[in-house]
Amino acid sequence: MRISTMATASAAAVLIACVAAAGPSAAATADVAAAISAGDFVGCQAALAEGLVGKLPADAAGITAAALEPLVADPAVRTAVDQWQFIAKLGADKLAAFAKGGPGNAEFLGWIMNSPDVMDAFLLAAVPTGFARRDENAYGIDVASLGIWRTIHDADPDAKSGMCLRLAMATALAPPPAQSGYSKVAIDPLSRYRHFKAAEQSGKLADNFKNLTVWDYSKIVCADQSDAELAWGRQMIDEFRPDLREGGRVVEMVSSVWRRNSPVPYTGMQAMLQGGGKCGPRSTFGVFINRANGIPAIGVAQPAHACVAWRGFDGTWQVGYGKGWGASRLDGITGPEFVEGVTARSSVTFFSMVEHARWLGSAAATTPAGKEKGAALLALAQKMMRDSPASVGDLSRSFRPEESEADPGANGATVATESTPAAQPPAGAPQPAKAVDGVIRVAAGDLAKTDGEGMWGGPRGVLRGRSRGQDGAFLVHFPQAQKTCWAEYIVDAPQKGVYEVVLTASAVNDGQLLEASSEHYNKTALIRVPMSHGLWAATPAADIKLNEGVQKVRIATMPNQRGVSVLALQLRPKPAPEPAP
Amino acid sequence: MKISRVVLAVAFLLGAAFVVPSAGRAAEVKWKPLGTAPNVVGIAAANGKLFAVTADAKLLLADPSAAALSWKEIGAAPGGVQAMGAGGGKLFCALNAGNAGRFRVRDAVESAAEWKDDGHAWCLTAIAGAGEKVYALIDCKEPGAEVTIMFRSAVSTPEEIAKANPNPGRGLDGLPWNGVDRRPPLGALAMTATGGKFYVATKEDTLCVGDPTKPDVKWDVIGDAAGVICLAGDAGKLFALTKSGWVVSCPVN
Repeated sequence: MRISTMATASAAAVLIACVAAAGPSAAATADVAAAISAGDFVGCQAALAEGLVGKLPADAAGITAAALEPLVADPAVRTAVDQWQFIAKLGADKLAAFAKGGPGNAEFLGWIMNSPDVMDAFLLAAVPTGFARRDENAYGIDVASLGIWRTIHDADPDAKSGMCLRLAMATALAPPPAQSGYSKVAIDPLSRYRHFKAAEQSGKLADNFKNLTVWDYSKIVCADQSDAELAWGRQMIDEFRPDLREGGRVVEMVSSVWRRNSPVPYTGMQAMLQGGGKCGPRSTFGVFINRANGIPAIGVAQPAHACVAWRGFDGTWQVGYGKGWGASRLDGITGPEFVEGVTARSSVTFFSMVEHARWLGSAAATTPAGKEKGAALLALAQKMMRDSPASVGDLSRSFRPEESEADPGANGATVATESTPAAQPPAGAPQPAKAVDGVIRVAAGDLAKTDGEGMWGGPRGVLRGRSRGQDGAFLVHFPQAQKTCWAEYIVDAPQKGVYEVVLTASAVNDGQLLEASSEHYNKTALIRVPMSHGLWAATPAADIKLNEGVQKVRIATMPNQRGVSVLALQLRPKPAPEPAP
Repeated sequence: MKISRVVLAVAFLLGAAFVVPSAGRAAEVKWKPLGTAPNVVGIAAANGKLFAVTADAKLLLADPSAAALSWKEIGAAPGGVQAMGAGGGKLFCALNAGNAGRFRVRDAVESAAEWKDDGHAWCLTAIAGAGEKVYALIDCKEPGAEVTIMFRSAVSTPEEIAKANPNPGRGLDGLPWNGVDRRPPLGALAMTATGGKFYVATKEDTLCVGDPTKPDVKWDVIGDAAGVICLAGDAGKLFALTKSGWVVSCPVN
């Protein structure tokens, strides 16, 4: 063992000495290959540290930010620092055990440890967000993550670079639990990786998903819901509130989680939305719906409350449905520390430089010759981190704080202004919908007019959003808690008589009702919208009377409903009853 | 016989008045369009003329016997009218809750006249004048609550008020409205009286006739009332305002 350590150390010293002449890759490859082959990362790590000390300025006083920058930018130094940190965080003994786990493992380790960009992304993602824990540098990385990573790496050639690589690393670092929380379905990390890869490739996730970092992805792929629930979370948004995709506002679905004790048991996220719940379930649903749609999110603890934080499209993190950051705790730290940390993390280059300085200092400090310089580097890293511009802003600010303990508008509060404005009818006079094969079919988005009045304010009339399915058809959404809300359509009936009206509609709660009526008759048809967990379903047929020719047909919500979306209307002449014998 | 018992039982359970569909009802009522009534919220017929109140508080007059209905403004009307009627040479209006649910009366003359406040008229949706009394549909629009019929004297006197309502309060001043414990047809939304009969249009677009001044009122369906939201009757004719803003008319016996 001693011989091999000495041999490795000697080899490393030689290799590092050759860096300037032969280039960094060669040095690193040889060093790592020997360590992997010998299963001795202790010696490798020590050799790397020795070599790095040789790269530092001769005097500790020369360790300044100005001197650090070119040093960290040096590919050889950067590679060696990454390798040292990689061994330090995973543990030399555990890494050795992994390397000996099979030739595939050794090859995989060789690929990682000779790819500084890969190591950078992986190691930086594992850095804690809080400044104190970054300073301590005492965290570790579970070596099991390498097993998950390798499984994905071997299963998907795409996982070697780009978004797929980052997604693979995130799944390795923050795998989902073995079983989903409420639906009790087994979750497999490889399936989770494939789930989000496929969702991104089919354009079902937030627009900026493909540009997120490994750390961002780690706040998505860890979702403790089944892949089927995640897929439902996207489809439901698409068929119930597609307007919330604009600007990544899916968190507003929390307002649709009825704040009450749920009358139905939670068998999954669908049941949670159906039954409603208080702050805990609303927080869970808020985190879930963000993650399902490719938006990083974290559950937030507040005094006697739970709510949600998510990454906005502008890259800043928001907290909502509770108090502000000042009363929050998440990701193991306080809200202000979190905001400070994610702001620092968002300055990618500077964040990387600070961490490389810290890793370099930690490595140097393990050697007798580098102790003083290592301490100077750690102090410099600490100072740079603390001095980094990281405004935490207004710590009391929160999204929809009035809904922390109440449904929208309850307790007399003015309802939060819906982010989606009420629908405007398409430009130009709407063409009357004519019967084809005797049936009048109307796209709900082709409304002629809309209006209404909320119980607690808010926009007047239906909201309009474009669904990803159904050839991008527009749907209209009748918001919850309306006194009145209607949409009007122009139809051209081929004959006078009774027509059966059937809607393609979606609802997330039981007992939702709409009314259909026509311009010339008082008779209204009560339409019972089936509870469809927010997915399209046909309503039972209801009868309205139409005159022959062009006229208005109106679909209206009943007072104080929970929200219904409509994709299409179908009006079919009702056959005359059989004459009595 | 058995079927009619079932129908009776169902009607009783629903708390609805018993409605008997008349045979050949479509032939009994033939509505004829007279013209449009833009922005009109209520109509009443008296002395061979049609009166109308608009949403912007104007009182209009028209001659229904003219070839084309032509409205002329003859004065002001109260704001927030939700029911209108006529009887005994008077026009009546009931105001909505936003206007304190008041009952207003004026002479049914063809010139400007003062609208006098005559007590409360909460939740009135239709008014039918019948001799010295006015009958009204009362719809409080509470979930599950049925529309009822109530009545009072057409015009109050201080003595009558003092006798009938010695302790007015909570906006229930003036003459009290008395229930007759007789229900209108299910879904009643408009009512008028002429020729000693009461006519009601329903949310199901049917026209019914009956007499709620007598016990055991039976409502007969006598035809369609497509889109009718307000009824007026005078001298053997019914006039109706429809939800699409038309005034239509039909003769009745």
